[in-house]
Amino acid sequence: MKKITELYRKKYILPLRRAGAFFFFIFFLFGCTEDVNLTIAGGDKEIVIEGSIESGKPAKVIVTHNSPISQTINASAILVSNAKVYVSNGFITDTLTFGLDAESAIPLDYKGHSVIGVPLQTYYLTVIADGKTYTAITTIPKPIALDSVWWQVQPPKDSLGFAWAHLSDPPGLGNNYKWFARRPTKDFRWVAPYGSTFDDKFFDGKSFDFAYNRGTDPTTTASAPPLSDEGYFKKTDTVYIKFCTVDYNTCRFYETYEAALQANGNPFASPVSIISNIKGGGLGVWAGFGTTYDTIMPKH
Amino acid sequence: MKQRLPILIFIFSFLFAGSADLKSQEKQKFTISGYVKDAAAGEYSIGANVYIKELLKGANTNQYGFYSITVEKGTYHLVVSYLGYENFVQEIILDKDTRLNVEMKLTVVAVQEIEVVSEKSDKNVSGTSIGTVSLDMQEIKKIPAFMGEVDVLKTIQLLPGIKSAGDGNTGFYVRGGGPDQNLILLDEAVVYNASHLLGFFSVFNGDAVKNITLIKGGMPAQYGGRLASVLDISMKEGNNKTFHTEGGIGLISSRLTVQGPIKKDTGSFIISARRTYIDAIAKPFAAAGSSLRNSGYYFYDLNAKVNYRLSDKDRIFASGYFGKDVLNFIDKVGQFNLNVGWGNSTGVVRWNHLFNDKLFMNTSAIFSDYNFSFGAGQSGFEFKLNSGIQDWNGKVDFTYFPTLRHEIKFGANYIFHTFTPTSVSAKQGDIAFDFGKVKKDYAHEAAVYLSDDFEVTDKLKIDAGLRYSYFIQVGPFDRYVKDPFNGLTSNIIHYGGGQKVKDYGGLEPRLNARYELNSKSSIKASYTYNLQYIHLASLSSISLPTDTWVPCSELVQPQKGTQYSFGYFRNFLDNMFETSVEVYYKELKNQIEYKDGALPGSDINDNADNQFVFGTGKAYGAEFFLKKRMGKFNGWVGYTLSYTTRQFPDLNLGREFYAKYDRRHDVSVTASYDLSKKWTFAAIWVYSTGNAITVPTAYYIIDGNFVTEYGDRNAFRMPAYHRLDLSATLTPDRAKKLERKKSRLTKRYQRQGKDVSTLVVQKNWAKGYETTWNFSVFNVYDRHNPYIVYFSSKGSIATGDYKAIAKQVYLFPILPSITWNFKF
Repeated sequence: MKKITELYRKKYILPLRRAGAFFFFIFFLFGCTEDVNLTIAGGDKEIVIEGSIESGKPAKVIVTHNSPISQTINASAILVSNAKVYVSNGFITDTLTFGLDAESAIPLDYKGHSVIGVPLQTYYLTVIADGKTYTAITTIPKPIALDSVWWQVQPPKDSLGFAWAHLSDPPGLGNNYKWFARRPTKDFRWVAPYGSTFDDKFFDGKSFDFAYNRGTDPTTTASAPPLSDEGYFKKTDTVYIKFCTVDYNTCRFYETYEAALQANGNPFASPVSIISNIKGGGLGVWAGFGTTYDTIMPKH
Repeated sequence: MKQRLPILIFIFSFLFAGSADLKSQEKQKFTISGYVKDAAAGEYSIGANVYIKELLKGANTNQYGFYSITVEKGTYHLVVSYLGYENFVQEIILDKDTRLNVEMKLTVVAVQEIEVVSEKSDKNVSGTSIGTVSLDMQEIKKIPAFMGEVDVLKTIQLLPGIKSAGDGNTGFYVRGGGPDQNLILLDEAVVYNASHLLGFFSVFNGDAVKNITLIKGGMPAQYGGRLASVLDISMKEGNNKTFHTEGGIGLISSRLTVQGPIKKDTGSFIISARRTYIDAIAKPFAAAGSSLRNSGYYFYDLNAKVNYRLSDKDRIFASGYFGKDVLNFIDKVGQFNLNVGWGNSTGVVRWNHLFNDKLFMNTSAIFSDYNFSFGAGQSGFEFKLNSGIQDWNGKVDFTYFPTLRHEIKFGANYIFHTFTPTSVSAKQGDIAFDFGKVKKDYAHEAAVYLSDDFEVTDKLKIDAGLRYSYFIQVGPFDRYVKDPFNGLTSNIIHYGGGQKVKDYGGLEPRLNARYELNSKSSIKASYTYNLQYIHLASLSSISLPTDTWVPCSELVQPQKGTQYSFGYFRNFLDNMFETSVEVYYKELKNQIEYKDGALPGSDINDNADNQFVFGTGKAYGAEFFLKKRMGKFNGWVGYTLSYTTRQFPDLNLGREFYAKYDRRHDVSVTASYDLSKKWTFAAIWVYSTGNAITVPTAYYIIDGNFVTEYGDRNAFRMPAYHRLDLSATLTPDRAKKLERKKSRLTKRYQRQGKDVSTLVVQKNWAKGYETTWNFSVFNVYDRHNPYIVYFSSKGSIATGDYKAIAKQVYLFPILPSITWNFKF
């Protein structure tokens, strides 16, 4: 069972999933999971775009192919290195260049240069790949900073805990947030735990504490921590927090993406369709992040 | 246009009925009527066959055991037959209206002998009903049961046209209809969720049930509000002669029933209770301080009923059912706790009144409630969720028996529904989260109906009916109007208490016709048009207690169903074998599904119907049935070939797709063999095409995670489901045991030279004490029937061995069980 993600906005969903897990526990006393060989026809070959532009930074875009379900893949088989990728703010068009990126889930992506993210600005993405043109639009909302962040022990652990924060949501519905964390010496990139995307539908204008567990980077090559430590930050960890505002379509993408990750293998959920904001038949997202940063200092 | 023909036939049948009655008035006619009941227990017999031997014409007793036959003046023999009872025959001189209550005696000889002399046990051939099955509890009790728990719902799923969605799914599917399209009635009260433990058990305790009738086609006009079927279950009334106790102790549950007279031959009561104890059994095996030690699951049922005969013309009944599933979980460090409960409650008060020998009335006041609640807490965070539906229902039904050729039914029904689609509250310490007001939806539903089961000629019989139903959603109600671009609420329209939000109504014609080819075979046809004003919305890929009932609204139109069916029915060897072939074609309109991308909680601070999309459905198929009714060896074989599709403009790119419970082939074989009075053996084997499911056809990587991309909706078939269950029932012969004991003691006396005449054999059991042992094996050949199929990833992109792997979860391997039943 995955460690619980403690953002309270999400808690109305997560207990349901834990209930599902417990139903599993009850009914699967006699049940078993086994590998099966299924013959499934592969779907159409499609382009997958994972692009973002943060306030104060240029854009970065990963372009890959999807793969038929029965196929084994490696990075070179799915990476699209010959795409033409453009980002425009309506005035300037930036041509992104392909190259190494150590902080990316797939370490080769397209990076921008001249168009830098500015809050409240709209950005237009154009990707030409496999002879087709894909477009997307995103806006960087005004960043909303956390009031404070801190580490708090999670009993009965004595040196393990979660990252806590205090948020004062500005009045008026429509604020959407995404949370990332990173331990500078242990994580090579920002990691978003499950349930890291949320909106203010249920706490509009309210001020409250919330917490997140430590997400797991699926691409990490570091050996896994003991199971008892999984999902926790250590008391001695330095933790960087990247707290972002996102627009409605970006939020919809990440919410459905996270739901899809959790629905897979859960008999109590139905297949979730991920709602992409890419036009032209592509998959993925073009996200604008209004970012603020915080640091939780280690306790010794 | 399609509805006009049946309506015209309906009108003509009444006009014709009138002319027939005028002719009949030329000769003097009298009525014989009364109640048929069991002589030992005083229980009224439903569906007993009452007929005039000389005319070979008669009627079946109604749900309350009442019959009425009007024939010309004369001397006749009245015969009453009922499966498992000795035939009742009495000469009657009919020169005035006569009341004759009949008490049926249980047969003391083998069942088949009684049935052979019963000339009229050919209801499936001679009746007008098509797609109707009645099951006897004794028959059901012989069939192998999961963990020894006799189950009505599991048994009906062995009949053609009725399908289970597989292990671990609640609900059942009839001729391509969804689980919400079945009207499940327990003593006339609607049961909204008839399953315990995700469908492994039904809410119907076998010890409290008297009669089960399932109508899957040709729904008579007195039933409405659902498209696919009616499952009408009557609870026992209780023995009005003597007190009895019966029960059973199984591996995971036990049950106890007590019944007896309130006043002998006048009134009786029955109370029946059942509880599982999986929680109690599992806990001792759990480590101290573990989650399992602090957690548990159980369900319980309580059925109670009283009835009292006020006079020869008036009887009252009061019955109730209360059942609940309870799940508690506390993790081992007490950080997370969970309380989940769901259950039904029903209460019914009925009054039967005979206005005269030809006019019978039943009036009922009914309460039904289904509620699901979920509570969770962690680190000071508390969360609660409720959903449910509650009905207050009043109905009056009349049955009028003007002549032998007519049975006219008419009545009215009114229901006040209260829906709680999803109500959520949550708080962290003192901070309450805004999940909006507790949302409830209110609606009135009403109907009137008239039908005539009319014997046009000796060969042709028609049951024509017309129902008019009306539904109105009323306030208080808030309509959330959404901005399509940002998903935010742009406006809220408020409706005050009682204010009309939206109403619907319509005529629902029904027509069943039977043409008797000869005394052993007939052909039947039916047309039904039904309206359904409530829908069950399910976000999950399987049916769960969390599924919510929602009413018709401005956005949600009534479900409409049209069914045509045709059947050939043939009995062989003096009705020892029943066979039938039925074909059906069904069209469904205004079906609902959640939108692509809808998430749990999407309807919080919103209307549930804003999350729905709407479409149509189609189902057709053929059902083959062979049943051996009598003899030591009996059982049935059913086979269904069927196609069920759905089409939604907003799903699957608007393309038609198979419903998840579409089953190309469905086979069930049920057999029981009475080897002796002591041993009965039974077996069932089921086979069905796998569920249609949506599977990923491709995958991709986002943020380093494995993300699946789904293909066409329900385009993939899970492996086929099949299973064999066996059971053996041992009924120790107490009389033989006594004989053996007597013989043993006699020999001892003789050896010891004692006077044998002084021998007294003490019975060490109470009078009438009976026990049975049921040994059963579920899934004998350990078939791994898939419950779900899912995909996960393995390997790494960096090392080039990243791939998707399919996994299946199956629930039960081979499972033996033992149950001890007792009765005294």
